[in-house]
Amino acid sequence: MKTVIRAILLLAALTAPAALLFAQSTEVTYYQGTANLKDSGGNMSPVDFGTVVNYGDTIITGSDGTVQLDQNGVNQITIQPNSVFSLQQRVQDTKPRTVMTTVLGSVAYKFAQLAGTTEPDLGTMSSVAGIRGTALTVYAGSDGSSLFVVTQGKVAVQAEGQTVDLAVNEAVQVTPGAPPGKKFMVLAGKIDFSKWNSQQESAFANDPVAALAAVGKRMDSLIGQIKQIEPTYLKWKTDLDANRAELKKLRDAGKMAEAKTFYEQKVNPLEVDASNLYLNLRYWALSALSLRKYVMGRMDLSMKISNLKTPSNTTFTRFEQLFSQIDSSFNNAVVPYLVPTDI
Amino acid sequence: METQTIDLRLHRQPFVAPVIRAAFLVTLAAALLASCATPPEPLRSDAVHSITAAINGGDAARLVSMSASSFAFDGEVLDRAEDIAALWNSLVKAGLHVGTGAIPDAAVTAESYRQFANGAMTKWFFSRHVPARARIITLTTNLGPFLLVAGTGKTPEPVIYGVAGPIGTAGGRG
Repeated sequence: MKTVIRAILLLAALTAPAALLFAQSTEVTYYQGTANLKDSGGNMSPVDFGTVVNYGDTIITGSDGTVQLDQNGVNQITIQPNSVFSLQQRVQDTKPRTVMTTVLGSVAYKFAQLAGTTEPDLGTMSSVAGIRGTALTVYAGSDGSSLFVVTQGKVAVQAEGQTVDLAVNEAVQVTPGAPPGKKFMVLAGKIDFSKWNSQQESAFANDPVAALAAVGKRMDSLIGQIKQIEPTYLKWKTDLDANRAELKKLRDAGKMAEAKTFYEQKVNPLEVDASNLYLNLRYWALSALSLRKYVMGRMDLSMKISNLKTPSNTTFTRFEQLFSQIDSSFNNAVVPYLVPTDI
Repeated sequence: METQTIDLRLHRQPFVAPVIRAAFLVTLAAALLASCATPPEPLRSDAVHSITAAINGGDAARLVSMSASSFAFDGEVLDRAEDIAALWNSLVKAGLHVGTGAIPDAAVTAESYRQFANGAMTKWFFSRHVPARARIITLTTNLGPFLLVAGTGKTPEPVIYGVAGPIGTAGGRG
């Protein structure tokens, strides 16, 4: 229990400076049907008019649920039925950025840029998109695939190191673990999410092992992001601990002026750097958790319930073996940066 | 005068002594209760019967209504009502049927999560969402053995926190 409390306090201490830098109000202005908010403390509650959505929160809509969010009176986000949407944050080039992730289902965005603000990144389980004065809809399929459809402005969709630029009436599909596909033209309002998602489900049913392998590649990619940051973060954290111990010695010795200078020159810069890195570690870890829980987990559920009477089915056995391998990588590389309230 | 004094003391003793003794016993009982956790109780037989009747009656809707909003299935944590409904509908559709034998149940311990899956997600699920007084029920079914973690809350209606099984199959990582 002490470890959990310590982890939560550490998380709060490390993320607070960055969070304060770009606090932005996002609240529910309309909802209907079943819609719940899971907060960063792991508590689930029904959304209501005026519910404030904070970084780390997730909104889950039921088959009859729709939620509309408003940001500062200018940005509108509409979460459609059967969707999972999360509001996250990360640091890029020392600057904090908001990431709105369509984990599952479909979310329509309409952004109007405000002076002095930075538009958010839009994530899915397979990609992330940068936007500029944009209205678009992001679809996230049950197999981790995503589809970006632009109705206004420009969008740059990035996945696995490659980028595709989209203009009005253009769309692109991204398969997990792969770069964006070839962009194509669409007519506004002509994309039927249910039909598109049914195609993804059919592809999964035809070859569940291949679909899981694609998700495994995406999980590897997310773990790669964690591994890239981890050594620097661990070094800075060690340095920070050593400097804090030195600071304590100065304070205990009553050398308050020296301690103040030491804090300003040594401890504080490290605190800022380490908190930014930790924020990114958490961002990638939480992205991996969403992939594990809402894509892999639902694939596993689907396979198990369709093989209740055929547990020795070869495809099922191969699926479960691959699942265990990916799950093991997740447990080893991602779980150390998660806390119990994340689930 | 001397006799009166003695009488008074004798009268006071029978009244004061039981009060002090009772207060001491109440304090001792409270201290004992506070010092140890409430022992888990067996799940009421009517609660177990409600669950098995719903399974054998193919009443998926009732099973969904008994299920907690955060629900464990083997190593997965389901928090979408649609996923929990899909699970129960599929189990019912597959003809899941509980046998007529005895239904053993056991207390939930710190290690109980391992019966579902040996991973951090399941461990955290049990520590956060499964009350200490819940029980692990073993069901012998036509599809193989299943485990249920369930309890009763303020109402007689049971609450199912998770299900694992069939145990020992390719998918049963529990």
